Amino acid sequence: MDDLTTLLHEAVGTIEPTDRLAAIREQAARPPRARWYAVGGAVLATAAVITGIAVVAQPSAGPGPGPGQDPTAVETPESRDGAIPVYYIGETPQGPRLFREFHPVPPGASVVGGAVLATTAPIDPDYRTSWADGSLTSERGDEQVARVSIPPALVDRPAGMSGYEAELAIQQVVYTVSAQQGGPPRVEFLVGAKAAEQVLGVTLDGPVSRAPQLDVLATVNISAPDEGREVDGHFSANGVASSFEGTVHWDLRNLDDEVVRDGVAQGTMEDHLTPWATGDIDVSDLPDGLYTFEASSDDPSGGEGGGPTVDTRVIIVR
Amino acid sequence: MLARQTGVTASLAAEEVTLDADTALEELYAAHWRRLVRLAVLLLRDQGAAEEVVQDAFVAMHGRWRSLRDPDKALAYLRQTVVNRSRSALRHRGVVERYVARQDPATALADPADAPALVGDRRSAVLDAMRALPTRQREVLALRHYLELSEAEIADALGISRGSVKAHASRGSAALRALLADPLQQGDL
Repeated sequence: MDDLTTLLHEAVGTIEPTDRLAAIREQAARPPRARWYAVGGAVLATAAVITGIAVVAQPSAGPGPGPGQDPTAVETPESRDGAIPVYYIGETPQGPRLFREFHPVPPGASVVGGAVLATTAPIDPDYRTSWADGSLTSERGDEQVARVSIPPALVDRPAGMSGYEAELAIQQVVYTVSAQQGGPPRVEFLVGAKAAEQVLGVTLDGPVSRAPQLDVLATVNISAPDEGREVDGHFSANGVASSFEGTVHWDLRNLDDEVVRDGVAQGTMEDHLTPWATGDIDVSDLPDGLYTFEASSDDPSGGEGGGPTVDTRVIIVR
Repeated sequence: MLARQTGVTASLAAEEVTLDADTALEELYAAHWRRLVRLAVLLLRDQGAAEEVVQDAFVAMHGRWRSLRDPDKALAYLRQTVVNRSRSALRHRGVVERYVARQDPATALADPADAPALVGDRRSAVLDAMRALPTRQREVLALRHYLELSEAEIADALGISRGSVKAHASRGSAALRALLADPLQQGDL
């Protein structure tokens, strides 16, 4: 035994965990459907992370993570260097919608199985996924159609899930798959070896394409900064939106919810989401600490339409 | 006839070795619960969080027993799930924790010059030092020195190449030894 082996054994050798067999049994005994739904709601505790299941190291890659990617690097609406887009479900005044989140990929790693990404945990705790860990399996597809297996239990709609939520969950997979570099535009769901005629109670007549953006996407989405980004002196934010007259309002708030910076980013108003950016935001005179960056759509109705759609990121100023 | 008999024998044999999910859960729990929680403590530091993560891993293992079927595969799946979910838990905890650490430098490593070499101090110094390592290095060291897995098993559990395992192991050992220079010198190791 070498010294580290001895040290690690000693460090935890006296830890006596509480007995959780009963709790595990009870959780495991819940019917799969109910559990699936519960897992969807409590995704923070249960989903695997991207680096664990969707990323494989290339044989040629150098060992160890390199310096972090700059999350503010120039992006197009669907790509950002060193990061992969994953769509999650979040709340808006119009009900649940899809939000895109970029996940950093370690240098030298490549992504496999786009659909599986939809089962991973979001970094932003405001988001969730409908797909439990292990509920989607990528199968061999082609350039036009990605193939994804689901377990037979997910053919019918889980109790408590609305038709809209079911369609949104399906679109979460389609948007995530087609957002990957080289990702096919359509997704065919399989049960066993056969094409699924129904997924989550939604009847399908073949491979599924993206629904129109304004039907399923949140109308404001932050691409950068990432949740938890450390900011030194200044930062900039960007994202995509479809807002009245293209106006995106943003502000930065401290933990007391006081607005310490605000501004307007001008995008364009289209039938799809278009990029917006804040430009440089100077925070060098702010006390160190946690702040919330918030971007919101313009709400010309003054709240009658349910209020603006909002996306947020927590950042650390130091 | 012969073929049929062979078929019958084979299916009988398969039945003998096939455990149902509930029995498998109990056997794996009895054999590995404590060790996996201790592994998660090495990864997460916090025992409550470690138990949560391992509990979730057992539930997930039970859910996919039909595709695992074999206790060895199930154990490999449990390990992998514990490592992945620990990493996920750390990431969500990260924002607040980094902030708190910066506000309160006293929570950093205790000064070993303050007290005689008590085993309790050494334990927490080791856990603090593990937390200070980059994620991959911490994972590789825990799997190698605590679970005592082979390079190939670690590569499998982490989804990385054996070359990467080696590199993380050597960097991680060097970093951990440097962080623990004092505890390592203290007497009986």
